[in-house]
Amino acid sequence: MADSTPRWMVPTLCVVAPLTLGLAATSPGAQFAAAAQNFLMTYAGVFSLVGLSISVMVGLVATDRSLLSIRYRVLAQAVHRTASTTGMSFLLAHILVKVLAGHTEGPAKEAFGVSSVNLGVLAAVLFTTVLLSGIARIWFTAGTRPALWRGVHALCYFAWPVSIVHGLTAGRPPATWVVAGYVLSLTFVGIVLLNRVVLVVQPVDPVRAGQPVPDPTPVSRRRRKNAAAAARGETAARR
Amino acid sequence: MGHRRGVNPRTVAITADRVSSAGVVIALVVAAVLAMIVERHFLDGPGPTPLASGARTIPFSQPTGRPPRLEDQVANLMAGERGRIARMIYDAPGGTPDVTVTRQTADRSWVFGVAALPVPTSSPAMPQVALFLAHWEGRRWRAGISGGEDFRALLRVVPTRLLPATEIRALARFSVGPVRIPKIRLPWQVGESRRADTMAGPLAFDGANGQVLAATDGTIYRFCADSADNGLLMIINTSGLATLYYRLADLTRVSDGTFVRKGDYLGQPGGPGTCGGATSPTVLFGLGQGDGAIALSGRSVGGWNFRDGWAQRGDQQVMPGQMLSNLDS
Repeated sequence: MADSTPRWMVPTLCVVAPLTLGLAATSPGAQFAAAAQNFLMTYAGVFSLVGLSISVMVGLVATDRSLLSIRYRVLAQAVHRTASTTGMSFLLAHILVKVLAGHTEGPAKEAFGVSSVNLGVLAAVLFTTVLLSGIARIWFTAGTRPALWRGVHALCYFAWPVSIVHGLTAGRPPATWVVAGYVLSLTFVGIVLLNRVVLVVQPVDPVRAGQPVPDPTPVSRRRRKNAAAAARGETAARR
Repeated sequence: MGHRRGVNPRTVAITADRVSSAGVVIALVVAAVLAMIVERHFLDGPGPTPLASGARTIPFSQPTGRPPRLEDQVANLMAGERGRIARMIYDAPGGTPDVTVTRQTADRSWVFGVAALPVPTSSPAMPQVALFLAHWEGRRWRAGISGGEDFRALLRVVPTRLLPATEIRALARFSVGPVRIPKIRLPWQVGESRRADTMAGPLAFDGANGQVLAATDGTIYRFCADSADNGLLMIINTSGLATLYYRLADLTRVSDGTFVRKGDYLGQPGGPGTCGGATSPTVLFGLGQGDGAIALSGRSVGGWNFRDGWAQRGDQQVMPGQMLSNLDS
């Protein structure tokens, strides 16, 4: 993980953190903080939902070998990480400014008989779990439980629709094109997911008794093994 | 490496690194802004928020309280949104709106209050009243009076430090109209009778030196209070239904925004008409919602079904000038 941290980050933090806290204590800083708070009150939730939606869609596309070549998948994974970081940052901002304003205690609208604010809380908890699983991916995949990682990370396919319902019902009434955009996104993800499920569970030729069992060793390792065997053969021939 | 097909892997790696770094930069910027907001929250002390922190340092240079002209803005809203209906009910234009701020947050960026359109002395009508909510948005007030879209929009974002959550819920229902009509008593002791002078529009009854009592549970608001003793009272039930009581004297001492129970003491009959109107010893009692009055006609109050100007209970009928008994417990 340490390798993935940009080298400039720690020095930048050391300069920016005291500067920010010092600025906030001044009058212009107060004006800026107030304007920023007002802006985040209105838009943090929107940015968060858009960021997380992009993250889910690009993340799904990045897993599909039939759609993208390896190089583009690497790029898609980078976009997936950036969209997740952005979405989760704005999610934190959204929760913080709403709690500071006391809006979590006011009357909440309802969606499907449930408080819309509670749906938002559920989605936030699920997305946080997904984020943590993303950060701990190496720990899962290096071990013997890649399936467990996939299971936890796939919680986003539940969290995302819940967050969309929260986003469309809790605040300002959404424009028609916004609703249409989310419906299209949901449909797209549904189709790609279905495609993935079909590819994964498609039947394979069963191996019957008496037939030779195919070598389960990965191709790359087999190549190395063959190369090593060939090298040994050459040495023996020279002797 | 042999052939190189498509995008160069090195270019891919560099681009991917840059894209990932962009995410880190965005996260750092958001974190810095959040740190500033939280710091201001603690520096400014308890107070509401959007604009709370900046509001203290930017627009509020007046040493004594509220910035000017909010009352004028609310008065204009009252005249604009209620003027026409007031003219119809009063049969004459209403007077200059009476606007009073009753609650505000510590930094004065959120304000709540009451407004009334005074009745001309020629009219016996119930005064047109409204609640208002205002928020300082850096350069101007955004204000709304009950029944209007601005009031509802502000109610959705008002901090609970200005209005408790239960009151916000009741006001939200009041603003769009009651969700149901609760059981309503007549505003005097159960079992006693009062002479009903008129029953068209609000009920005007002779107080007969008895106490005026709350007809429903709810939060209490007072309008046109020229002193602690006089004024018009309104009680907003959790269903959103309001009951109004006018020309009371020796008003209850509970403060604005207090939750009172059905049957609690409100005042004595025979008070002055502090919101204007014809001088009369009778007490006016009416129903209302955010955008105005609800007619008594067709409602069941105190065990009586009110018709257009008279009341009925089974075979019994009470016409104007006759005694009306409070039968509902």
